[in-house]
Amino acid sequence: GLFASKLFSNLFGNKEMRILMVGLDGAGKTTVLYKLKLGEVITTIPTIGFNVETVQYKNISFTVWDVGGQDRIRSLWRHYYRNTEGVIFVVDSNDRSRIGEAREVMQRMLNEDELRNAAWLVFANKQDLPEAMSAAEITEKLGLHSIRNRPWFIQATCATSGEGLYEGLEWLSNSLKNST
Amino acid sequence: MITQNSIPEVKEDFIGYALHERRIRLPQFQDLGPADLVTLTKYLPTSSNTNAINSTSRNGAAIIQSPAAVVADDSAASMATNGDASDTAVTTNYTNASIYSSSRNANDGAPMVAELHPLDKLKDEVGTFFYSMGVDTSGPTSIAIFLKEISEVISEKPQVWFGRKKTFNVARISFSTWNAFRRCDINVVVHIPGSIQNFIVDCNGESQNIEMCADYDLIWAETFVSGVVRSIMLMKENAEEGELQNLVETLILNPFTAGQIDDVPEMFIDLFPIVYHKGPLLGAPYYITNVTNTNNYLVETLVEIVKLTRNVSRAEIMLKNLATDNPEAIIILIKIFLVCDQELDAIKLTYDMLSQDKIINNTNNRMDYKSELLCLQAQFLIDKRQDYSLAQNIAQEAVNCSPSEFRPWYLLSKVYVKLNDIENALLILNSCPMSPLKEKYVLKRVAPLPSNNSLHLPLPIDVVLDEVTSLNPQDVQNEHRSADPMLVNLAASNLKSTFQLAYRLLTEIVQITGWENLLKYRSNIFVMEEEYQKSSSSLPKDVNKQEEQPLRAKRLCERWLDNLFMLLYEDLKMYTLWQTEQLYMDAQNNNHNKLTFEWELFGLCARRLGHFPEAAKAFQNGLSQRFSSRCARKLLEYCINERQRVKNFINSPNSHDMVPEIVSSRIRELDNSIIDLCVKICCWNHRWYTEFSISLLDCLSVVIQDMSLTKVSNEISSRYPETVLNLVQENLLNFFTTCTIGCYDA
Repeated sequence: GLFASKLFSNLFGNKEMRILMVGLDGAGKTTVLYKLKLGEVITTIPTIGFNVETVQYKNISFTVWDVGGQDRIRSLWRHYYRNTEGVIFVVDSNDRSRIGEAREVMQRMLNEDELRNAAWLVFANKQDLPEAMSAAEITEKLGLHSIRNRPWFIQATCATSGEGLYEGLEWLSNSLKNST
Repeated sequence: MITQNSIPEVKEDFIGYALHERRIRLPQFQDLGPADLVTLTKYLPTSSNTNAINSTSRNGAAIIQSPAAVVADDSAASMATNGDASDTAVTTNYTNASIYSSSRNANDGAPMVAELHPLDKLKDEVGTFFYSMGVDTSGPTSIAIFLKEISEVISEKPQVWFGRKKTFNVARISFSTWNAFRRCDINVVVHIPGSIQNFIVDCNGESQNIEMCADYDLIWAETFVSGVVRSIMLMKENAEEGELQNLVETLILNPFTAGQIDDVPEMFIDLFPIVYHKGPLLGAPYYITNVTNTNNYLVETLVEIVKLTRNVSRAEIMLKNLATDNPEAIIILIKIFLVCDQELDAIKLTYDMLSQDKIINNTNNRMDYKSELLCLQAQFLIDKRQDYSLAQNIAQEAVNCSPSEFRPWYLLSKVYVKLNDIENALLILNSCPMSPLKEKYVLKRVAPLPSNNSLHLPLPIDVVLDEVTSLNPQDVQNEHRSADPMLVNLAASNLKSTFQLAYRLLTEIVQITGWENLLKYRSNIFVMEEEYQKSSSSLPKDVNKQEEQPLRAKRLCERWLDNLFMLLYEDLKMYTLWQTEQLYMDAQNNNHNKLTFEWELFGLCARRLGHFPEAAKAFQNGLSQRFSSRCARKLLEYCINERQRVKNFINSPNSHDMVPEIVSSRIRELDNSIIDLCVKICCWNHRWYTEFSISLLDCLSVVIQDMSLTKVSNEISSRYPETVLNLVQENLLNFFTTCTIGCYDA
């Protein structure tokens, strides 16, 4: 009941973590968010502004900001940087033509001072599609190995089936524990 | 730099009150419409609240709602304050949902916020609202950023809320902005947690889905332009009143630097052609009767933006393109040249336009455009060339072209004043078509204050400049009550619109003639009451025609002009009395012991009568006792004019009489005063949640032009605390760095 759960969370300390989820338009960010939140796949439209939801995983309450990825509004991402403890960068693994653009956008973000302490999680999404690049290929194409001074992790995911999503959260929760 | 203490709020009696009030008033909005409305639903987070939000997510998507329905049930739920709110909400959902079922399709998958986050009553839920100006309304994304910022500021630390500290969270925050071109409200609602919705509410209070609209981009372009025009016109139209704005629960931001995605001035210039033909829908300044494509608020705003940002070339290209199909658009370019020191270009263009009569022939408002061009010429001849006889012919022709407009008559009368032809000046002034009903653009309260204790007006303690910020409004009010009623009741100070302009002309006349002579001129040309009574009583008798002749030649003085004579008499009487008293006091070596408010009123009286140095002295005296924004603003205006006068004097042939060192030290002294006054007024504005002022930008630009930005910023930092410098930097100096295409030296 209410009493028990309250006691529980007090005992073990329910932690909160603020996550910013970005990536190019159409990478599947909103689908990821609502798959995590609702456990089901919803039909999405290009995100106006943002969606924000809290997702409970283990004893961590993730506040996930899913921000629209269209080119015109990417300059607005900076408004979401403050207090961000983890970034989820979602990539459409099937879109070879835009992987270069994704790299550029991500590398720019890595240089943002306000994000210097944020844990870096990459979702290599849409793994269900036949032409999808592997996590290793994307690691190389995004230049993840050149990341210094911060923890990073890449996870192959399929937002529609939910595969890989919780593994990602698991990594984030561990990196939060390690940092505190 | 928005902080908790720089946001005013009004507490609602029930959630949704302000949105409801706004919705029922939509049909009454005119021209530019009201300020934007921000409403918030705040609550105190507890574990049970959080659980409520989380648990609903498992309920699945039973009811699909349209965004509009969500809001409808918002207000419906809140109406049933004590009843079972959720029941009411559900009923409303279904009725409204049916309206939208046709417009929804399978792809419309905006995450189902409503079922995810139903509007359950949260613990200690409270609804609040305030108005705003200057927010970037170019799209839902930029509005969402603003709303997110506000909600984070409110919830990031405990808020002092009616004497108690409360740790609020924001569950919902909404934004409503009036699209003046198609007379509808554009709404954006942010749910935290949840998503963003945007929809239209039309004049009948009906909601429409905005994403389905074919002209989605056009709607947002119009919405953006409407907002910018409101911001600029609010300042510009009330410049004479010191940009005074009475709606205290309003957060006024600088629209130029509030751009989230693109540069606002450039975006405005680029979007101008798209809305050009609908410009007259926005209305026009109070002195315009016949609104055309070239004299409305939209055009006024463009001219002001280009004047401030100096981006003439961008506007010139845009207007020349526009003019290929709309030749009258060149008139706008002429106006821009005139305010941007390109007078020769302006005059040449005007001449071309007038001599190529065929260009003007093609358009509907032929005579209006011609008259407008002639007025621009006449104004130039009066102000810059002092060629009054040429100006007389031109103004006369302008009157012939559009006899129902105020401006041509006003200019013609002014020319006669300059030509010392007092009788004609008065006769023409008497013929000016006045517009007693047209008001300047001011903000009005859309949602009445629920009660006397609904206002949350924090003191912005992030910036402290003692003499300005610690001024107690209560003390000032008491001072107002104890001031000399003779001064307080000078009715000329309340003159509005065209009457204000006509009165200024009358005071120019009395400066030339003196009061006694003015009365003689008046009785020479106007029928006096006594004469009239005499003539009407002699009417039944056999009329001697020769006796009546002089009366025939006279005109009846318009009632309003007659009234202006009365007001002038009162002003003159007060001014003389006060001056005499002051002379006496000076002779006795006594202090002229007056309240600041009295100095302010006397200064205004002197200023109305054209006694500018005396007015400035009065404002200075007032400011020496305590801060007064009106004294400060009027003194600032004086300093700017005085600076210009000194500069003109250097360039005039008589300047060799003046020692250069004296001139430059006078300029330095004025520059220092200008900087000081700008800083203080900026702090005062911030104290009242106003972060934007065109007149301050105007004034500071004069100094920056000569001194460079760095020097001005150093001057300020050497004299004021760092917080004050930061404020001035953000509200004034940043504009010159980012929005003026680099035409001011860093």
